[in-house]
Amino acid sequence: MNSKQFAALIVIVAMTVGLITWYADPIWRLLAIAVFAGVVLSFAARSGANLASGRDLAVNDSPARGEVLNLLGDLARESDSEFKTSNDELDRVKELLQHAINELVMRFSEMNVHIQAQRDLALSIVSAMASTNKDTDGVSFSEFVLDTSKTMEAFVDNTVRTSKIAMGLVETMETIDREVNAILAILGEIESISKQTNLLALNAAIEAARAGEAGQFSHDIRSHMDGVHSSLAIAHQSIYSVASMDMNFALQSKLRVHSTMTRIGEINHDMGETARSIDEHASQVAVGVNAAVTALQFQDMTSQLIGHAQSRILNIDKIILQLPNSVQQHTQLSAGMNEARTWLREHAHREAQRSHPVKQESMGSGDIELF
Amino acid sequence: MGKVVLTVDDSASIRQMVAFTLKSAGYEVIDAVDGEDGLNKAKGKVADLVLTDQNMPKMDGLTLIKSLRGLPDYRSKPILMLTTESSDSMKAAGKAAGATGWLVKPFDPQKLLEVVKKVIG
Repeated sequence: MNSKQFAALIVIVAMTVGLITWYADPIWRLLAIAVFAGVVLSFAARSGANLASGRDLAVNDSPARGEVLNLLGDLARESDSEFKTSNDELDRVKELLQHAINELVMRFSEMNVHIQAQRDLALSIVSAMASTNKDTDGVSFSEFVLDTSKTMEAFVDNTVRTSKIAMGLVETMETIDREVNAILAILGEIESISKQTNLLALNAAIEAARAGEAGQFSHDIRSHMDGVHSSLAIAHQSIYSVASMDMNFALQSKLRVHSTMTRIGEINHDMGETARSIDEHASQVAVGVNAAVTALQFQDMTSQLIGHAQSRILNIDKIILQLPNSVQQHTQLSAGMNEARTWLREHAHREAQRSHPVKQESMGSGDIELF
Repeated sequence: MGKVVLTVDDSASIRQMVAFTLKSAGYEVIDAVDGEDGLNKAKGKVADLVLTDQNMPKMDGLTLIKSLRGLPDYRSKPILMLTTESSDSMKAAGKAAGATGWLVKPFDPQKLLEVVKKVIG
């Protein structure tokens, strides 16, 4: 009998009791009231039992139990299949994540190694340019530039000095040339006097001989002096032209050396700046790689969270599988349902005791505590 | 040769990241995939520092620490826990087991290096 039929029975009994109490003797009245109270108490007891089991009284019958069992069996099979598929998919997500993150970490590691090597090279260039350490085997670039500059300065100074000496030599030769001209003039005068002496005709033969020797002597000297004069003129011209050329070349070279050294100094400065800039960029990349390494740890945490989600899915699967088992073990549906509810409560209690290690809600670096 | 750090974690990416961070600073790194593997490797070569995760298959971090503290070579060696666990109860358990410190994931490579330098130089 279901609850509706039972309620109809109570109404009928109540009406009967009402009629009896209205028309019958007191003894019948008491009897009718007692029957009515019995029916109401029975109804209350049935209702209480139904409330406790949460089920309608009507489902205790066999056909309903069979239908419920069939339904629960279907639900369990379908859920189990869905949960297993979900579990496999989540496993694949974890594998994909792990593979991708391993690859990313490896690439970031390689990138960082190369960036660090680049940074070290830049720093070595800067230190080599700026180094003044005499203990090192090599020569720094700045020292090379300085040495080259000094050598070129010394070379130019020497050339200028040589040119000055040559010009002094030219002046000395001009003086000698003037002296030679003076000697030539004196020789001319001697020759003239010799000719005038001849006119006096003293001891013609001797004088003639003497005059011939003297004349020959004078002629030889004059001839030599002319040669010296010519040689001096050629040498003077040569030395003068070379000295002038050296001086001009040296002065031009000095200007060029100065210009070149200025340019080298600028290149040196630019290279230093570039190397420092490379170093700064490498530092920025290193900071970025560090941040990436921190962020990439999401894989570890998400994998753990996926693992937890998988265990929860398996729990739901287990719960759904347990329901038909519990009902199956009892002939009464309500008893089976009661057992299933008890099992569910115990299971929920066990799950509540489980720890949940991943509580992070962002990817900021975690706390550090030294004991 | 740099100082030796044994890193124990079941996550390959975390092992990679720890190794990458420490190797860049000149440390030699040995890695292990769980507590049991870590214990065996710790016995094979004495590390100057052990860095371990907590939740791992076969043997967890707390058990590993207790096992290591039982070995003469590791009685006074620093052991740091690097884990997602951040509860006070777990930290207290770690301290009781003999951990030197507790680092909560995710770790910042620079901060990790600072801590490692602090404990082993």
